[in-house]
Formats: sequence, C-alpha cells, structure tokens
Amino acid sequence: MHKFQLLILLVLAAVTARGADEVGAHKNILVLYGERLDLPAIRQVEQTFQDQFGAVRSPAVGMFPEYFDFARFPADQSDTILAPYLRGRYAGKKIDLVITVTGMALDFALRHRDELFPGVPIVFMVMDPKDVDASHLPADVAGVAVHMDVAGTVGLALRLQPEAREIVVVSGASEFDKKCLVEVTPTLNSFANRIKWRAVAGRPLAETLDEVRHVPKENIVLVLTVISDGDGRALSVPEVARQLVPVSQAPIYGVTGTILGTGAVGGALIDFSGYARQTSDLALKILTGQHVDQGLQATDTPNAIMVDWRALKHWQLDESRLPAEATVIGRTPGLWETDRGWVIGVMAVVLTQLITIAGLLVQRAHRRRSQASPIDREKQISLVSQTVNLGLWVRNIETGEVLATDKFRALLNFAPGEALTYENFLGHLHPDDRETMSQAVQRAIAERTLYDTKYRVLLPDGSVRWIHSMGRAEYGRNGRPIRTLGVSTDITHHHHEEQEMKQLRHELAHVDRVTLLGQLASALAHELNQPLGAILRNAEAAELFLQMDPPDLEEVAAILADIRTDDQRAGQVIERMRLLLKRRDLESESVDVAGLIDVVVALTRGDAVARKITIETDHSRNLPPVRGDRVQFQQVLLNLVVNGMDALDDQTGGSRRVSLRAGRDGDGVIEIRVSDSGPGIPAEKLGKIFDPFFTTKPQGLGVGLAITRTIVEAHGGRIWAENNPEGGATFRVTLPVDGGKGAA
Amino acid sequence: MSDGAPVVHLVDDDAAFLVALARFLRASRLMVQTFSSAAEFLARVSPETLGCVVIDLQMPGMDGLELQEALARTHRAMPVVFLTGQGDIPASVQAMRHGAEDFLQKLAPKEKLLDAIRRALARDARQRELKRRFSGLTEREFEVLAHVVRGQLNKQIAGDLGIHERTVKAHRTAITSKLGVPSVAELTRLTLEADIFPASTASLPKGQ
Repeated sequence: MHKFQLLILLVLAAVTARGADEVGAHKNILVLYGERLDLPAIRQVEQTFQDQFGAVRSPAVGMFPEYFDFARFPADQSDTILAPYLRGRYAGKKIDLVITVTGMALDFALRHRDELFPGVPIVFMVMDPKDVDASHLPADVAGVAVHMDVAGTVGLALRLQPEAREIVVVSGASEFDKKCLVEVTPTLNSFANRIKWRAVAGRPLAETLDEVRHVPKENIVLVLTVISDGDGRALSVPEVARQLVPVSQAPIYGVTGTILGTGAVGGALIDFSGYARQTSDLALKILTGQHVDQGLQATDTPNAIMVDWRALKHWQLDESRLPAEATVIGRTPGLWETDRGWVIGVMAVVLTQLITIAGLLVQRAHRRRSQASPIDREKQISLVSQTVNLGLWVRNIETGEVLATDKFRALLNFAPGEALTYENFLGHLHPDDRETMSQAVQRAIAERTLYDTKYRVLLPDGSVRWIHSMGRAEYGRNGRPIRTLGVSTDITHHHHEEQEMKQLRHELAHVDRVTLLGQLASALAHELNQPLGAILRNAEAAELFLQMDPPDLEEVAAILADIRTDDQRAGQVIERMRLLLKRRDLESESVDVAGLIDVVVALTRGDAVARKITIETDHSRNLPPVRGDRVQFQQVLLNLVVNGMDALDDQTGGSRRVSLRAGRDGDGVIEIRVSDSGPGIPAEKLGKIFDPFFTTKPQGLGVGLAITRTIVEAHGGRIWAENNPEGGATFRVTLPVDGGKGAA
Repeated sequence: MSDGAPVVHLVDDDAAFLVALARFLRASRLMVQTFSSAAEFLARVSPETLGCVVIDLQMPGMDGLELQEALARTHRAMPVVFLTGQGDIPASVQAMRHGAEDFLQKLAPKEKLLDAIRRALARDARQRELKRRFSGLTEREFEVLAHVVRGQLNKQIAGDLGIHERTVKAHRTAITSKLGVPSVAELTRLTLEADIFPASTASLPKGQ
C-alpha cells in the first residue's frame, strides 16, 4: 500500500510540478556503505534498496554502491585513497543523490562533499542517533538513525528467565563494536538493582566461545554487535550467534534482526529492512522534489520483539511467559495444529476441486441428456474423486435430481439402482442428524456461504459412519439458487480417535481426582470423625441427662440442635468427597469463585493441619462467576494446593504457607493464584512441569499438573508457573468471566 | 485455678467436639474445663493444678505431642489422655513412650474413655500423695536418693558426693523410714512413680 501511495505521489508530481521529461529522467544514486557487503545487516539494507528503487518506474533509479569496510580499514587511513578513487571513478557520472549507510560513511561524505559531489543532497542511515551532529548538518542532508533497544531485549530475557543473575554481553573488537558497547552501558547499568552484567568484548572468537561455554544455564547471553573479533577477523552477529548457540548452556539473545534464525532466542530486534525502506522513501521524496525536513527524521520502525520458537524449546523457556506483543517464528505444529491442518488441507482440496469437478459433473449431466457422454470424461471424474477419496454430488434444486459419483453413493450406502434424490439422501442419515443437515444446507443457500457439517449414516448392521460434508450453492442470473454442489468424505476413523481421546482425558481426570483424594484420605477421615465424635458424645450425654431426676430437657434440646449441626457437617465432608470420586458427565454452569475456594480449603484443611501448613486465602466475595464444570474447577485448585503443600515437604523451619488469592485481572478475566513458601521450581523445570508424566515427587503419577492445564485450557483459560522474588512458586490461573449473566 | 477437686482439662480446636465431650463428662459427674488451643491451656495451668488433661492429637499451631513435651519440660507432669480423629500408630507410640495414660480414638466407646480419664485422675492423685511423702526428705537425702535409684553402691555414692560411706548409710536409713518402704527395689519403684527427677537424670536403673 505504501508503495502504491508512493506511485500515486510520483504520478501526481509528474503531472503537476515539472516537465515530464525531467522527472521521468534517469536518476543516479551513489550509496556509500561504511561496512562490507557480506555483513548480513548491510546485505539486508542493500536488498531493500534494490527492491524499493527497483519498484519505481519514474524516475528510473540507478544505484552505485561502494563498500568501505571501515571496521578493518579505518577511515582516517583510507581517506587519502578513497576520495581520489571516487573522484576518478564518478567523474563522468551525474550523481543526483548520495545515500550513506553507517555514521562513518556519513562523516566521510560530509568531509568530501564539496570536492566530490558539491550540492548533491545526502540521505543517511546511521546505526546510532549520536552519529549525527544535528547542529552542523547542511540543509539538504536528512536521514534516519537506527535505535538499538537493549532495554527491550533485557526486559524480554528477564521475563523468560526471572532467575537469571548475570547478563554476559558479547561484543566485537572493531571501533563500531566498541562504540555500541559504550552506548548501551548506561542502559545495562540501569538494571543494576535486578541483575548484574559483564562484557566479553574485543576477544578472539575462540576465547569468546570458551567464556560463554562456562556461563551457567540460568544466566543470559546477549550478543550486541560483532563486526570483527580480537584477531581482526571479519565476523557478524549471525555468524557469532550460530557458533555460540550449540556451546552455550545459557539462552542467547540479541538486538539485531540478523540474529533470528541462528538458533538464538531473539529479542527486541532492529529491523534493518524497515530502516532501509524509510531511507529509500526519503531519497525518493527528494528526487521527486517533495519537501523533506532537514536532519534526523523520526523513525517509524519499531523494534519488534521477535522470538524463535525452536530456541524456546532448546533452552526450555516457558512460552507462556512471553509478552503478548511478541512475535514467535519457527513454530513446529503441535497436535492441535496438525489436526487443524488436516481440516484446512481437506478444505483447500475441496475448494479447488469443487468448482472444476462440479463443472465437469454438470457438463456430464448435459451430455447424458444429449446422449453424448464421452467415456474419458467419466474416467477423469472418477479418477479425481478416487484420488482424493471424496464423494462428489450436484443437486438440481428445482427438479430435486441428484447427480453423484459412485464414491458418494457408497459413502451414503445407496444400493445399486436405488434412486438418489435429496429426500432419499436425508433418509439415509441418522434420524438425529437429518434436521441439522438440512438446516445447514438451507442456511448456506440463504447466506451464500460454504456449509461445513458432520453427519452420521446409519448402516444396516446398526453401526454408524461419520461423514464430513462441505458444499455451497450456485445461483442463476436472477439470484435464485439453481443447484447445490459439494463434497463428502468418511471421517469415522478420525471421529473415533477424537472420541477416544476425549474419553481418555475424562478417565484420566477422574483417576487424578481419586489419587488426589487418596492423598487427602487420612486427613479427611479425621475431618469426618470430628463431627461424628461430637455426635456420639452428645448422644451419650443426652442419655445421661434424661436419666436424671428430673430430666434436664433444656440441655437435651440444646444437644439435639448440636447433633443436627454436626450431622450436616459430616454430610458436607462426605458430599465433597463423593463429588470428587463420582464418575460423571461434564456440566457447564455458573460457578462462584469464592465458593470454589471455600470448598478446596475445606478439603485440604485437615491435611494442612497434620502437615503444619497454614493455608491463607485472600479474595473478594463479590467476584463475578466463571463458567464451566464445578468439579473440574475444584480439581484444578485442589491439584495446585496439594502441589503447593508437597513443595513444603522438605522445608524445615521458616514459614510453611500455601496461599490462595483470587481477583479480577482486567475486564472479563478472573485470576487465581496459588503460592507456596517452598524452595521454588528450578528454572530448567519451569517449562516442563505441565508435561504429562513429568514429576519430581516419588509418589506422584505426574499427571496432576498436565490434567490441570488441560482442564484450564478447555475452559478457555491459561495456567503458568513462576518463582516468587521472595521465594517459593506461584501458579497462576486465568479464567474468563461467565459471560452468560454479565457483570452483576 | 481452684485447688481441691480434680479437674478434667479438655484441649481441642474443634469447638463442637469440645462442647459435646464436656457435656458428657459433666453428666458423668466430673469437673471439666475446656481450652480451644494448647497455648491457652499452657497459659492457665500451674504446677498446683489438680487433675488430668485430655488432648486432641491434631491441632493447628502446637499439636498434642508438642503440648505433652511442653508440659514435661515445665514440670507440670499432668497425666495425659490423647484423643485422635483417626488411628495414627507412630504418634500413639511416641505418646505412650512419653508417659501418656492412654491414646484413644474420638469414636472410642464411652466406657473406655471414662476408664482412661479415671485412671489418669487416680494417677495424678497418687503422684501428688507420693510427692507429699518425698517432700519430707532433706536436700542431701534427695541427692543420695538420686544415686540410689541409679543402682549405685554406698561406696560409689560416698565417692561421688565426697562424704563418708557411713554417712551415706545413715541417709539411706532415714530415707526408707521416712517413706516407709521396706526395700531398695520398692524405693526405686516409688521414686519413678512419683516422677520427682526430671526424665534426663532419672534413667532406669541398670539391670532392671
């Protein structure tokens, strides 16, 4: 769109401002790069310039690039050679504009402007705003400065690794590298109260690798810039990062976009192409005579947080800790994605095939009518439909006639010779699915959309076959639907798997609840014997009071009232247990969060007392409800509280606390936090604890947290764990507020 | 706390059970005082308090076993009956080893409960009676007694205390006549029962 606007501007400029011959004329741009071409950042800039200027027809732009490699051939030594060289080389060329890339290239251009290209405007792209001395800049010099967001990258790293204790900053030996390191020092120092840092700078690459090899895995490695190393070897950020990644136990971050794809995690990255685009836009404006502000332009290129998914896995970093604005690249599909891919794949096949094949079918129908149905057509159709294992059909809405491939007849279990009409088709469906199917078709016709539905076909042996069907209608010139056409495929196998997985998850959740209760059993027995004991002693006392002369009826009445209360109390203990033990179907209801916490505290209180743990709660009674299965919500909190108490097992002395807090987390979200005062979760395990069969407890099955996550996610929520600054771990669960009743 | 009649002290954090048990014991003609925590009980009990204490094993804060230890440390060795919501063998073993009168479940039959409480009260009365008898001994006689119950011979005692063997003999005679016991064996038994030496020094005599 940007380019398009630019084009319009150019055209307008061509028509209004000057003579068409002048604007349309050839323009020459001299591009002076301060570094060498094989630096990936420079290559990105160069590529962008080529794309940008190449897309412009008027004026046609010719580029003359020069690469100075000031990192290895310092400017003061090269000046005497470079200036005469350029003068000689471009003596016969008319240069309309000079672009400089890097601060040293700009300095060079300004130093030699009068002798080399007097009066020619300069557009610069510098790697640091401080490279530009705005007060001494001539009027026709403008450009952009790359912003290096070290704070953004450090922020991301600390978010992913809250346990980190040191940042090791890797930097090169060139003047440029040294300058960058000096520039970012105040920023790094500003994190002093959170984390210390040290630089591995200006060393030979082998030494740097050796140094990074010994960085403990919980710490952070930040690659700044490395244009050359201590041995004077030409290097680059991606080259260094590629060598660091395999040897470093600690995750590697960067500040330049070029680090992406090397296996490093990423960071708040410089988008060199974005800056190059802004630079070329500026150059084009000047070439077409538009007004451009002198000096440093405001940048419109943000340092986006980019993260490589494979690196997260490699260093076992928890993806859920990423900030919302982070872009994740390189993700390999999970189970769900694969599944969705399958559906999308079918849809893509369907959509492309649908039109051609349906067209063929229609032709075939016409040919049949005219008794001219060439064999090869039919062959072609059946070949295509067999290849994709799809049944195809077309229904004439007016006549009710249905034309279909044999595959479709077989899918629907039509006998040879059995008439195929829409009514017959519905008749072959499972009675419960007929209405849904016919409604889906009608809706698709009315709304001119693709319908996508699943139905069952009743087979003679009483079993069912699951069919996935997609289709749409075609309309005549008057807008009336003429025919519907579509594709059907057998998904019985897939559907069974889905059902089995669902059933399995359900069973596993039940097993987890039984296991949980087993852990709490002895404490719950105690909890139950408390009211039962009170009832027994009260009953015995009542007998004695009745035997007195005269009987103390007042006391007996008080006793009976207490017995009733204790009986209810015992009943509640049993009911809470029964609810968790029962095999049951899922329900969706509005669930009060405070009530949920009360039940979980009641269930765990006995165990907590026996283990000398204090359970604290902090929540408002006025929290909005969440929607879902009450028992499964209880299971989630129960798992987290029991997990928290288990974390205190080896904790002797100090406080032994598990706290349950609930509150609103912005609009429409409830957050429940379960914290413990235990030893916390080792950083390398934070990303794994929700994996099935991952357990640190000798008696644990390792499914509790995995099921907890499954349940939370099934209810549209999120769950993650983090370590508290003051020690211990916190599990955070967010759940959407029940929208049904709104915020009451 | 009033002297005179022995009191059954009940310590349990569960208010409903505390009230029910107190009712039943009062209806069984016992003096009862209730406490909702170990701390509350410790704050109000004194060495002069008569009676026994019925303690819930599982309580938040200081639990039953810790209360038993605290009582032993502060020389307020009141007989203890433990109640528990459910069987807990390791805890019961520990409780009994530290001299608990009994260890019962909360749902134990009333006869068993009353029996245990009455035994505890009787033990308290007997210990007080014994202490009264032992209180007639002089300080030197106590020193000698401590050595005697450890099974030491007169010669060893004389050496340890730096006195003449004949003097030791005289002290022993005075002790047995004051307490009215016929033999060393009986003297030892009585001393242990009276629980007058702290657990650390009054280890069981060798050979018994």
